[in-house]
Amino acid sequence: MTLDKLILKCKKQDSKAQGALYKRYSGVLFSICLRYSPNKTEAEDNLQDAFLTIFKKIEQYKGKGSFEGWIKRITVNTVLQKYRKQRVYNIEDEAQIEQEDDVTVETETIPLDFLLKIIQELPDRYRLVFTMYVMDDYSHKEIAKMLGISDGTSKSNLARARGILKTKIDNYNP
Amino acid sequence: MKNKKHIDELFKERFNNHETTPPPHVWDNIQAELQAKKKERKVIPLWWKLGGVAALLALLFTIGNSVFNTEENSKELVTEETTAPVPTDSETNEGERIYNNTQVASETDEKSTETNDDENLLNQKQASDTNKASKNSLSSQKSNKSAVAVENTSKQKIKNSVNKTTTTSEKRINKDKTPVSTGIEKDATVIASETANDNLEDSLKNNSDTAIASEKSSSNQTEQQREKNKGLINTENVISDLSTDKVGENNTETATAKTETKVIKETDKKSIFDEIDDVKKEKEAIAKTNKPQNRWDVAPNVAPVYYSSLNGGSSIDPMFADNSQSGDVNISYGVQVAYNITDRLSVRSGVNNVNLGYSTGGVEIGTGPVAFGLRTIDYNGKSNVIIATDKGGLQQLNAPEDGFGSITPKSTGGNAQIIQDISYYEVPLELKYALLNNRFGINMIGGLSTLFLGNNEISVEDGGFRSVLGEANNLNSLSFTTNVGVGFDYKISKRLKFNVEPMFKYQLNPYKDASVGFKPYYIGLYSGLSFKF
Repeated sequence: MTLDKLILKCKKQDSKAQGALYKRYSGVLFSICLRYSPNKTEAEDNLQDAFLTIFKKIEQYKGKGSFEGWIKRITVNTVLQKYRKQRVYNIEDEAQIEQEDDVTVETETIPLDFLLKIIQELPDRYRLVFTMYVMDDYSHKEIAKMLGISDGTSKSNLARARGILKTKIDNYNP
Repeated sequence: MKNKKHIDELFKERFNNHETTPPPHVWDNIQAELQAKKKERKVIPLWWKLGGVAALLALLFTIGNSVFNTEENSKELVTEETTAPVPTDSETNEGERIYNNTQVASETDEKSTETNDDENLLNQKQASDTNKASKNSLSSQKSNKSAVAVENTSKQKIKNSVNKTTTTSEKRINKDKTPVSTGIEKDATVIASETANDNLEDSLKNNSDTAIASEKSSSNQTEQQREKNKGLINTENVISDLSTDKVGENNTETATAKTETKVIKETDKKSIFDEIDDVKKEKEAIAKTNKPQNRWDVAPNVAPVYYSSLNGGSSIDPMFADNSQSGDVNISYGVQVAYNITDRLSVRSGVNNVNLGYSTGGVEIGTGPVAFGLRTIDYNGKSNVIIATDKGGLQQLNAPEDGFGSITPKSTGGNAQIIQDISYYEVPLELKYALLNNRFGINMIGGLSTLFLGNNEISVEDGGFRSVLGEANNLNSLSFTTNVGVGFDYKISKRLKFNVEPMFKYQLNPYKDASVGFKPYYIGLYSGLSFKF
């Protein structure tokens, strides 16, 4: 089945088509959810919510832009809705100057699971900012808007996240 | 920055094209949710639609039935009149019997008081003159005698009791009269000819009996002449009437009944007047019991109405479907007129102005080209408008590849809300059935309303800032609701009632585009005073 047909059927709330769509994209979207969520269980919940939103809003997808991009945006938005409301506790971080420290790390030996684990362990805001900026190519301006924070906060959060991640990678002992 | 990139690169590379298969229970949950939603979507509206149809059918049936019933009632009234003289029937019957009796009594009274031999001769002459006619009538009456035999005995008894003071010969006359009069009662056209025929018969039979002849009074003489004339006409009618249908009989009956009362009036005024009055009163009483005195109610009412949707969704744009939404409490006011079909059942209509409000939260506001505007809003040809989107939506709209120009965000915190205000003119058609009909009443109410769209307006609000975007262009100018509710009333006096009616009204087709997953309803607590008239 072509994607267009699949989308068309999903618009008619055809359950087989919904199943096919889920099979096709659940891997990619679950990966996103894992990166944006603090743990696997919540990632699963978020994936569920994201797909429900996709099936609900699929009528609005008019074929402009890639479908994958569209469902990724919905997924990110779904997750953001859940975590952006939670404020970061240590506010002084936001005033911190962007760190210019060396954040290079040894990359070869570190397994993906560990990287995912340390992302999930980040405070909500840091995790969101880092993932959005680094892996989903959002600009600070965009992140600031989507999270309802200032550009500066976004930048300092990113720097702080990098610092935490670097420390954890540096201390990684397989 | 190179170094920074490095840690970024690490994550970017490792997570690029990264896919993780989620555990199977995630899909199970999604499927369950989807099915639950489908059920909700399908079952509830269908139920309400069916409910509406059922209410409509019930309404039409009841109206039809009541119309049909009133026809039957009128028929019954007519048949009552026709059957009235038959012995098995009640009050009116007795009344008429009393007529006859009093008539006879008064006749005999006058007869006994005034005697004139000369007039006896006249009587005899007249008797012979009308001989033929009376014979005809008698022959027709005879056929009816056997049928009314039962009545004769009871009548005779009454007559006997009335005429206790009269002589035996008079009794005989009365007895002779009864079969004739009962014949008349069954065949009403003969009523007028009754006295004439009776007298004729009597005079014929008792031709040699001068005593009886002498009892025929002088005062009756002129009447008798009239009666005889009538009798001649009526006896002719008798033959033809026997073959005509009931309706014909009824008509002639009423006509003859009038002539009868005239005759009665002439013979004896006071006592018979009373009787007529009594009968009239009885008839009125019967009419009253059939029809409640005040069938109409008028009830001005006012209600707070709460507007909401059964399944979430959004009428403004599907992107708001999952936003927080809340109905506003507004006001409906109007007047209703009710017609009481029976004591318990009434049908009512009227006109109400209904104002409904609905707000959608979690909205971002910006200003920008109309191309970014909501397609359900009529922006009145403005090129730069206020744009409202779902939270995060401004970001997406501002994507550079759109090329329509950019949006200046005004409120991106998601605290803004879209407010839709709609006003309708509602014309309900409802049935109300009283479950409890005492001083305190409980009623079931069901029906349909026709909604004519009045003003409608979509505006955005953020804190103190409120701005009208325009009119929604997806509202039907004519739509319907199905209504169910419970009515409580307290009767302050016979004519005045205080009503409180919680009503649930489900809108059947408020929006032009069926794709709007918005099933609005409104709940109103209607209260007011109703006046009977």
